[in-house]
Amino acid sequence: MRLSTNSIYQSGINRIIEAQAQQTKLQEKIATGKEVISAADDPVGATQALKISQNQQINTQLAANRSTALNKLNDYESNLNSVTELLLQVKTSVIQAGNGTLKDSDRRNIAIQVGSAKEALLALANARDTNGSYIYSGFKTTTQTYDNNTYAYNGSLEFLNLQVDKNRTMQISVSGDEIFNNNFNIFNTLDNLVTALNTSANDDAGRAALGNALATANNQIQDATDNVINQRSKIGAYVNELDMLNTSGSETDFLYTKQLSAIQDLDYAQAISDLSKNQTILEAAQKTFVTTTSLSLFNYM
Amino acid sequence: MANSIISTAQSAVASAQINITTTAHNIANAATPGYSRQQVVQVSATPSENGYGFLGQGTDVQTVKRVFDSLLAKQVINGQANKSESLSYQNNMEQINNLLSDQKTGISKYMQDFFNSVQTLNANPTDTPSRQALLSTASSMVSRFQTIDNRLSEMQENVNSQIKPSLDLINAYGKQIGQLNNLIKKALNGTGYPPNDMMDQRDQIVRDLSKQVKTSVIEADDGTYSVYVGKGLSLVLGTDVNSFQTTSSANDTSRMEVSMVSSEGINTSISYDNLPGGQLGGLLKFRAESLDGLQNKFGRIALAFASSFNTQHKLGYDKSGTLGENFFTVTDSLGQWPSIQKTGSTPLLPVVTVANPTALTTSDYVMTGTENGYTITRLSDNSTTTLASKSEPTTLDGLVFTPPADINSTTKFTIKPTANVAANIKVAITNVNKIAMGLTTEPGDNRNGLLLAGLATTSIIDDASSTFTDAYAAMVSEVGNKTRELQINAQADTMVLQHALNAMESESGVNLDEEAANLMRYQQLYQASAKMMTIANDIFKSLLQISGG
Repeated sequence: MRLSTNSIYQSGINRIIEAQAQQTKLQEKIATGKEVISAADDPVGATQALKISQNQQINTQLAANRSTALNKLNDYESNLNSVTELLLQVKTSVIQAGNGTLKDSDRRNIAIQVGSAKEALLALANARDTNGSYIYSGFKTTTQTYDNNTYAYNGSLEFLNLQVDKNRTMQISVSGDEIFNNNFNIFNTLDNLVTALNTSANDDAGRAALGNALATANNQIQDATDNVINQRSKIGAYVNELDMLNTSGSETDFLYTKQLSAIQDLDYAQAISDLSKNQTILEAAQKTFVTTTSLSLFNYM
Repeated sequence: MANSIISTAQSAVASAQINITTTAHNIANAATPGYSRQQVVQVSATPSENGYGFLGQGTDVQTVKRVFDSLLAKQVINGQANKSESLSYQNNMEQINNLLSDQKTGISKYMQDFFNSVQTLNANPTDTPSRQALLSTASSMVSRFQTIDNRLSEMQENVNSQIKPSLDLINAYGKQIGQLNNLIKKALNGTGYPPNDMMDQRDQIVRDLSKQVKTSVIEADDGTYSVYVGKGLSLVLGTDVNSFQTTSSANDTSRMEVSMVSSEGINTSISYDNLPGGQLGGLLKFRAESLDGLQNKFGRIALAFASSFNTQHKLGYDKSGTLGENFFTVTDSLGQWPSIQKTGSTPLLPVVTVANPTALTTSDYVMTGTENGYTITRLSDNSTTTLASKSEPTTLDGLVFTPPADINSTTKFTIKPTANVAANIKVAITNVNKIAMGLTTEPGDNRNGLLLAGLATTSIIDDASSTFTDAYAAMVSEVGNKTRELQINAQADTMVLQHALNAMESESGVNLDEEAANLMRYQQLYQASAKMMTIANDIFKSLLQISGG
C-alpha cells in the first residue's frame, strides 16, 4: 500500500498521544487510589456506590440513635433502681412498724423515715434530664410530672419513640403514670402510712386500725415494687436488643465499607504493572517514530 | 532530419522541466492540509507519416491533474462529521459526568445529612442546638441543590455561546465555497483545464465545514459544488449561498436556537434534529437529549422533596404549639413558581400547585386558550387535555393547573414546573421554634419528626417507585452510561475517520521518497534530453561542414 509522508508522521504521532493519554489516566488512578474516577468509568459501580454510601450514612445515624436510646434507657434504669431501693426501705419500715413492742414514739420516728422516703420518691418521679426535660412526663416534657401537694399526674400518657434500626422503632421513655400511679397513687399510699404511724395505737381499736393500715401499705408497696421491677426488666430487654442491634450495625458498616472499597479502590499491583507496561509501549512508539521518520531517500542524494 | 531530432529532444526537455516543477510543487505542499499530489498527464506526440511509416515526434504534455478520489473524500467528510459530533457531545457530557460523579459532593449525601439531623432532633425534640443543627443542614442541602443546578445552567449558557461561533464558521465556509465555485467554473470554462489547487482548497473547506456540521456535496457538470448541511439543508447552490443565524427560542428567550436565512432573505427556524453532525450537531444534541432532561430530573427531585416535606411538616405542631408552615420554598426572586413564559395579551398568569409529588413528571407543559376553554399539552409526548371551561382547573401529572380568568384563544403559556426548582429551593424557616416535630401541641412529641425522617427512605418519585437517592442515582447512572457510550462512539468514529483519512492520504498524499525518486528520474530524463540536443547539434554541424566543404 502506498503511504503518504503525512500518514507516516501522523500515525506515529497518534500512537504516542494514545500512549500518553493512557499514561496520564493510570497516573491519575494511582494518585487517587480509586478505580472509579467518574461515573463513566463504571456506571453500575458508581450508582451502587451512591446507594451504599447513603445506606452507610443511615446506618451511622441509626448507631447514633441507638447510643442516645441507650443513654436514655440507662437514665431510667438508674432512676428506677433508686425507686426500687426506696420502696424496699419503706417496706422494711412497714415490717418494723408491725412489731407489737413498739411504742407510739417509736412509730413516729418510723413515720419520719417514711415521710422523707416519700419526698425522695417524689423527687425521683419529677426527675429531669440534662436538657431540663421531665423524664416521666411523656410528651409534656416541660410540665412537672407530679404536683407536690395533690400528687396529681400532669404528664401525658404517650412515650417517645426513636428509630433504632432500619425497621425498628423503640420506646425510649417511660410515663410516670405507669410507674407511680399503677392502680393507686404511691405517694398517697405513703402519706396514708405516715398518718397511720403518727396515730396513737395504744388500745385494741388503735392496734387493729394500725394493723389494717400496715397491711394495706404493705400490699400496695409490694405491688408498686413488682410493677417497677417489671418496667425495669422491660428496659433491660430493650438494652439487650440495642446491644444486639449495635453488633449487627457495626457488622453492616464494615460490610458497606468493604463493598465500597471493592467498587472504588484501585488494585495497586495491577495499576503499577499496567503503568510500566504502558511506559514500555510509549518508549517504543517514540523510538519507532524517530527511526521511521529519519529514513529518507533525500539522505542519499 | 536534424530538425526533427532537435524538436523531439526539445519536447523531452520541456516535459522533464514540467515534471520536475510538478515534483517540486508536490514537495513544497507535502504538509499542506488538503493538498492532493499532482501528476503530469503526458502522451507520446502524434507521429509524422513518412514514406517508411510513422516517425515519433517526441512527447506531449496534456495537462497537470490532481490525484483525487471523490468517493474517498466523501467518506472523510462523513467520518469527520460523525467524529466531531461524538467528540463535542462527549466533551460536554464529561463535564456533567465529573460534576455528578463524586458522591462526597452529590446531593444524596447532603439530603441524608439533613434527614440525619431530623433523626437527632427526634431524640430530644425540644433541644435548641439540635433544632439549630437541622436548619443548618437544611441550608447546606439547598445550597448544594443550587450549586449543582447552577453548573447545569452554566452548561446551558455554554451551549448558547458555542452556537454562534459555529454558525459563523459555517457561514464563512459557505461564502468561501460559493466564491471558489465561481472561480473554478470560470477557470474550467476559460481554459478547459482543472484548477487543481483551487479545487483542493474547496475540498479542504468542505472538510472543515464537516467538522462543524454534517455535510454532503454534489458536483455539478460545470464543476461547482452544491453543499448540503445537516439533514439536506442547502448551504451552497452554485454561487448562491444561504446562511444560518441564532434566534431566541419562542418558549424561552434565554435559549439560543438556529434559523436559516435563504439568499432571498427568508428566515426559517431549524429544529435540532435537522442539524446533525459536527460540533454544532453534537452541541445541539447534547442540549436536547441530555442537558434539558437532566435539569428537569434534578428539579423534579427538588420539587418532590420540597413538597412532600412541606406537606408532612404542615401536619405537625411547632414548639409554640401552632401548626407547621412550609419548611422549604421553591419560588424565584419574584415569588413565582413554576417558571411560565407567555405569548399573547392576557395580563394574568395561570396558577399551578403540586397536588401529588409521586405523579410529577420531568416534562414541560403548554397551556393554550381556546374559544370556550383551554388545552394543556404535555410536551414530552404532545398528549393534550382539553377543557370546555375557562374556570375549571385541570389535575394532570400531580399538578393542578388553573387558567387565568382572562385566558383567550390568543394566549399561550409555556409552563416549566421542574426546570428551575433546584436553582430556587430555599429554607423558608428561620426561627428554630418553627420546626414542627409533634402531632400534638405537647413539646416532647416527636411523632411528626419520625414521619419527616421516614421520607428519606420512602419511595416517592416516579409513581412511588424511587426514593430521592434512587432518583439521583438514576441520574448519575444515566450520565455515566451516556458518557461511556459517547467515549466508545467517539473512539470508534475516530478510528473510522482515521481509516478514511489513511485511504485518502494513500491515494492523494505526497510521499517524499516517491518524489525523491521522481526527482532523480526527471533529472536523468532532462540530462538525456539535453544530451540529445547536443547530439542533434553535432549532427547539424557535421552536415554544415559537409555541405560547406
